Amino acid sequence: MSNFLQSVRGALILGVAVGVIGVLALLFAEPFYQRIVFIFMVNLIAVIGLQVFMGNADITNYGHISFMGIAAYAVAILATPAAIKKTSLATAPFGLGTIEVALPIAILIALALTVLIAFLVGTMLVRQSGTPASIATLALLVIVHVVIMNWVDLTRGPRAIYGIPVKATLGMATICAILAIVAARLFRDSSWGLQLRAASENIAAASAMGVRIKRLRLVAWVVSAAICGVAGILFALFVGTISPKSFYFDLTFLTLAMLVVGGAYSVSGAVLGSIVVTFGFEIMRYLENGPQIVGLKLPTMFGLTGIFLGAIIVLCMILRPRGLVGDDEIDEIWRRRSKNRERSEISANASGAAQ
Amino acid sequence: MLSLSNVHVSYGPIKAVRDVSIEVKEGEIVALLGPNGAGKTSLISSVVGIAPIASGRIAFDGHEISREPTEAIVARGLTLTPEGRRVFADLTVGENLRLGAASRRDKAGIAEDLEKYLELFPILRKRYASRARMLSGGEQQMLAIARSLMSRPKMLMLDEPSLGLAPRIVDQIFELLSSLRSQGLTMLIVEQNANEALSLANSAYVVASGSLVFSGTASALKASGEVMEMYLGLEGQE
Repeated sequence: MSNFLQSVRGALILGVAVGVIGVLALLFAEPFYQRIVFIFMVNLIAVIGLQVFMGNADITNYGHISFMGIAAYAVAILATPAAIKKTSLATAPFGLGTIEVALPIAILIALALTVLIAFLVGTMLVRQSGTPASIATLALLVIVHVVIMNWVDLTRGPRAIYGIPVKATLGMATICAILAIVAARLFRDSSWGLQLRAASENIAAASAMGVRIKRLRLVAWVVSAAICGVAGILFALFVGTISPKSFYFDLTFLTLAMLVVGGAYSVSGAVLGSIVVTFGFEIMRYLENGPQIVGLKLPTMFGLTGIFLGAIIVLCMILRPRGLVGDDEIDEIWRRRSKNRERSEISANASGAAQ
Repeated sequence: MLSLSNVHVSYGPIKAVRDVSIEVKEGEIVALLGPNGAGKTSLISSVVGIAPIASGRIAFDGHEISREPTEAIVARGLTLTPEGRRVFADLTVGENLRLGAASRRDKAGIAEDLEKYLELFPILRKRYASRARMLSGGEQQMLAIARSLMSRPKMLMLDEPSLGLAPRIVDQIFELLSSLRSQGLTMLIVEQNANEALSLANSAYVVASGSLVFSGTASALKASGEVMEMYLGLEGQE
């Protein structure tokens, strides 16, 4: 089987798992749980976006959520009905307070803007490696946040933008998540992804072979930002209202925890980590509010979710520093295992026959 | 084919290579010899643009390449096989080979070369899906050489191809290099193992403490007892 088909098949195994979650929620879940599953899909897309850069270029990234924010704000400012903007964004510059852009066009503009900003930031960022690069991504997160907070005419500052058309559905989010999985897997297995992973293992040897590390990092960075942008747009179009704190440290660390727990070096890790952390996080959130369990009233424990995130990252760092999945995709691990089993069966048969 | 004139390489205030000129003609094997720390690796790293050259000129195939980025030099057909078998340990043999062709765009040609080198190195076909870290030292060196060949070089520079290998494996590697020469590949071989390298080379250069102390034909070097003894720790042929 060709490499390409193998990658697609591997991605679809994950895609089916995510699809099943989406379909089950659509068919059976109450609206409250459907909402949780929708947010799970949005986070999953952001984690996959994060994986594209972090997993292939091996640079810890704190800036991915800023692209989610940029895309969400762009689509919100463009697509919110003019009648609502009259009260919320009347003073917006460039005439944005009075125009109303059709949703598909607004989405395209939002994505294009995200890609453009990612490209400009990326040209500077990719010159750095390791910790300096990570700090630059952290700076990006803070800068974007500060701009959103202070460009009050355009973004309403710390106050929320409301009245965004609520057009996103769980079905759409599920499809986007599956597409993101396929895209990330194809990128990982492409010659670009391969060259980037080689460079992150041994930069000297990779450059000796003529791998254009900076250019490839830039490609990964922009692809990553575009995928995160999709997550931001879905979020805005589902919740209908956004504010700067939706796209800041909380979400950054939640998505980072998901990726680190699952394993940053594979798309499988991104998916598995998102599922595991979401599940744990929702349980903690339930416990946080002091529920009554088999007649026992638990105390309210604010901050339990935060402790959970911290603990799970630390535990993962100690016990499985490369994440639950490790370096390979799940289908690659299966294939290797079944091959080894065949081999040991053959040798067992051979030794049995010899006796 | 490759000519270095008055090349200096510095790392900050430390001068690693001083005023070295080297000439490699097409179809030749040239040995670059010298003790540990003489500046051999710095010198060939500077040729492919990995180490910065402070001054001097490097020309390959009639083009000045001293200011070109590595990928452009590799695309011109000059490839370095780095010291210590720098294979990508976490990647498979197949992925390592694909990476060798990173500077190429001709898909059909890449597939053709892959088949050709799997034919030439049967062990790599057998281990195609294994991680490079699972290979023995000799197999890793074969992989490193095959990977360099995947860039379809006109000239190959090998940094210490015999380092850390058993004598029997070293013989195999040098046999392989000799068969590559008969296919018309030009080579610059950096070695501490002077005897093996000189058995193959047409001409030789010896560096010590960053400067050239000998240049001439391989047989002239073998005959020069003083250089052999002082710099290479070997008895010359009297």
